[in-house]
Amino acid sequence: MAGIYIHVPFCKKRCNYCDFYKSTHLELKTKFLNALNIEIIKRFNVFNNNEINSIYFGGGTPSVLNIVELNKIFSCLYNHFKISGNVEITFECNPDDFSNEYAKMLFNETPVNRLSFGIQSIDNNTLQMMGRRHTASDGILAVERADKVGFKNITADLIYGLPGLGLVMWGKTLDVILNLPIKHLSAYHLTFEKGTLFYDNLQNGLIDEIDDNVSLDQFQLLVEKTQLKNFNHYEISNFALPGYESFHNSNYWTGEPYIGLGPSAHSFYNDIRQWNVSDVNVYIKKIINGECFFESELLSSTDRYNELLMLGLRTSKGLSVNDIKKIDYKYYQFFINQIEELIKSGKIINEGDYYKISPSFKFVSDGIIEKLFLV
Amino acid sequence: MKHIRNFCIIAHIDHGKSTLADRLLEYTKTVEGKQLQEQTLDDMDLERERGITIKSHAIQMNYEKDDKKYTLNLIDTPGHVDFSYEVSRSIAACEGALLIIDATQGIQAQTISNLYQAIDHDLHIIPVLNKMDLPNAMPEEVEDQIIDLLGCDREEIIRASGKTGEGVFTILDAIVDKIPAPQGDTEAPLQCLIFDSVFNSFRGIIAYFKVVNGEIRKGDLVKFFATAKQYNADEIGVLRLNLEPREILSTGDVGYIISGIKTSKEVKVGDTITHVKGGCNKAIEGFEEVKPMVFAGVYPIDSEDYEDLRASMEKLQLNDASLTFQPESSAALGFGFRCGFLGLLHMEIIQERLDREFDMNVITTVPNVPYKAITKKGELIEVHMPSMLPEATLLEHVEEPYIRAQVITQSEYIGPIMTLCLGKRGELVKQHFIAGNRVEIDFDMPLAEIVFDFYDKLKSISKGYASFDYYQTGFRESKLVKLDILLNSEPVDALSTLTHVDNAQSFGRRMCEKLKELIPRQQFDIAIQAAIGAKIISRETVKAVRKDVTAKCYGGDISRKRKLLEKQKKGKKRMKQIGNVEVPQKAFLAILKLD
Repeated sequence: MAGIYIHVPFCKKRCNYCDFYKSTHLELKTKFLNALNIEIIKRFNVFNNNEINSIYFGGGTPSVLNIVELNKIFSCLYNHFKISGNVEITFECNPDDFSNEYAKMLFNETPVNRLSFGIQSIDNNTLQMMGRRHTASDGILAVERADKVGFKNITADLIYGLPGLGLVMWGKTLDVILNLPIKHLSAYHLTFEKGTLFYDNLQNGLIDEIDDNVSLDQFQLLVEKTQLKNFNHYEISNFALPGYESFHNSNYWTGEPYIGLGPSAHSFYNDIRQWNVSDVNVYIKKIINGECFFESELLSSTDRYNELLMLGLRTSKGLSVNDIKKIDYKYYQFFINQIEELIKSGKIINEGDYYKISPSFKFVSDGIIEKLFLV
Repeated sequence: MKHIRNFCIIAHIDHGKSTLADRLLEYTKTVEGKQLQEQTLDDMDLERERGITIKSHAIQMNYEKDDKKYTLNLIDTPGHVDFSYEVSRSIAACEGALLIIDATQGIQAQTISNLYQAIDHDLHIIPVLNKMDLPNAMPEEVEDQIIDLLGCDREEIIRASGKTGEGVFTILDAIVDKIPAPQGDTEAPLQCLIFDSVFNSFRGIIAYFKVVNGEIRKGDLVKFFATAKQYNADEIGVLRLNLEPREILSTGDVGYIISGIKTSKEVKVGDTITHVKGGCNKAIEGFEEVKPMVFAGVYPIDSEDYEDLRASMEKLQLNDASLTFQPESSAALGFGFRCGFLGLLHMEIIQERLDREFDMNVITTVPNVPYKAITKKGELIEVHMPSMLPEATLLEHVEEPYIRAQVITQSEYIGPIMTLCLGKRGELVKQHFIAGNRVEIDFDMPLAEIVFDFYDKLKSISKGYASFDYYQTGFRESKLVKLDILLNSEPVDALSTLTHVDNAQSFGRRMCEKLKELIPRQQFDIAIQAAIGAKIISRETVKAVRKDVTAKCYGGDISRKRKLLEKQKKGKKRMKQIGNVEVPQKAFLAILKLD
């Protein structure tokens, strides 16, 4: 199995917390799409005959693409990659681009079968503070509309740990969202990333990071409320109804190969991590001139061990020692030596070949993972 | 002998001693321009970086005046109070001294104490105003200070610049004309004064000396007075840019001896070399065994490196006899060494050399001065570490070392300096104006008080306009207590200190506060307590981390997050695990930086 990620690097407006690469110069769209086509043709053979089980359009804002533009990409993809019959094709939408007409066309005229809505909050003040261009009701309406036109696999994104977001409001947000026809929820704690307005405001003392204890309360509420709705907490920030765990997300954590297309997109195959240049102008120019448009690094076996730990321990399934042994037996020996104390202190649970972080320690998982790292 | 001139240079740090010395070497053609690495004499990297001389050095120059050829021996001296004994031996080997004063800064405390030593040894002083090329030079004012200090004539003061070369020939002429030739008796039994030694990995210890009386020849059987050991003078010679072997060195000459000595312990600065047969009966006066005045534990971060640390210390000791060490163990830190240093700078230097030259990662514990504990039974115990202090019930009394501190500053800073020194248990001894608005203030103070954060404070309250020097004045009775630090109720022996009873309360509180700042939050609460005996006098808590998680972990986050966690893990490797608490290295020196 393998995945494809396509980065659509355009946004009508920048959000105050987002550090993904995007450009507000939508006039570059046509040139970008041409370059993307060339990139697909250049790179499709990296997977040989590996079947594609996931295609994901992220951004930026994929919903700035019209249906014709989107289908051009699909035809190029289907012509070059071997795509599985039950492929998951996810498309990120901004609630305010999602007109009834767009929704219908997306469902009826493209192979997209999963939608992801960046709802983020149901509080208009919070949305405004984040610099989102939609309102709370836009978000709710968009999900209902998607469901109505026929999409049965919908995921929503929420953000918590925001300055000013109280526990009550967060609880209300979860109640509303979990009552929508969604099958999957990604809920991320706010991080202050360099280059964002939030980061600058934090540095300048205009906003404060919220207290750890408040963060933890919000996380616990998230875990409880999703559990009550039968969502499976399958990764630290991801929740799904049974059978709706995202192929796309899971590919990252299980070490499946994936190819990232478009500026700033990351790829992983043959133990190589590779990332495209993160500037749409440079990307277009380099692709057209036939120049190198990416950088890459080959992972050492220690890098792979550390990644396996880091990614595996974030999932509810955990990490299989067999995968460690496959890298090198010496890593297994190191792991087993270190793990005992963590099991004793209740931080790690061992079930057969699998090791996972116990639920009450999920919110401090980085420190636990780091203990098992080899440097 | 008539044509030899032995001289040293007395100068405050940054007053341009090394640059001016380089100029002397250049103008006497001892060193060609292209060989002249900036500051030729300071050949340790550390010396060049810090701009101070740590070891003594010596170099011979030739100079012609009035058709006569002269041999000038420059004996360069260390420039820090930690090394004042070495300075005194270098001074004892000379007949004259250049007193170099920065024309933009004026006289500093360090200059004065070394100057007094030089005057005590009857050295002829040649005052030099350096850095005359700088626009903010204030020659008249600084000359007034010098005249005030030396009682010399204004004309005797040479205006110079190491940078432009101004005055350099005048200095060389003055050295020849004014500094007396060495005196001594060529026919008398041999007496050589050792003023320094260096370690050479091929040739062993090379001792530098001045022939005070008699003559020494290559191959002579000699003995060292203090150690009573005998050697063959395998090679003797003079110190040019390289070592130049000679067959004979006579009274007044400055030179070196190589005699197969393997460790620096056998060559003591201030010792006398004489002949085994027909040698002198008396050593040259002024020899002292150098005693360490600051002690601290030095521990490898990784306990497996203990033997490597021992080997490194042994190598360091080969060329630094003033470093002492003996094994000790700490419940918190495992096996290490209790080291004795001449002072705080010396301690820093050793730590840095361990890191640079031996790649040894060490933790240095809170330093302390040596105390004398007198028990009820009348025994005298030298206390080099807090755990050596006998129980209060067995103790008659404790004595601590005192110093006479000299501070030279401008009058507007007298107030804050008085407050600082009196707050450090200082007693004012005298206060007098030197010249202009410069004032000298002398205090008697416990040495322990200057070991902790004294220099930095003095510097900041005087905005840098205070210089400081001290000498030891013996021991005085004192009320000391042992202050312990506990992390999650476990005493951390490496953080224990001996402190005066009056300071204990505030000291304990500040220690806890500082440690709270320095110990990172971990996955559980950490209680930091200060205690005297069983009595807890202060407490702080480092709250557990509640949130330590990456929100997103997709494509680009993966490498970034892995590298971040790897970096953090590497950082923690440099921490010491005490119980279950991870303590960073710098926490062990927290005490030095208390506010």
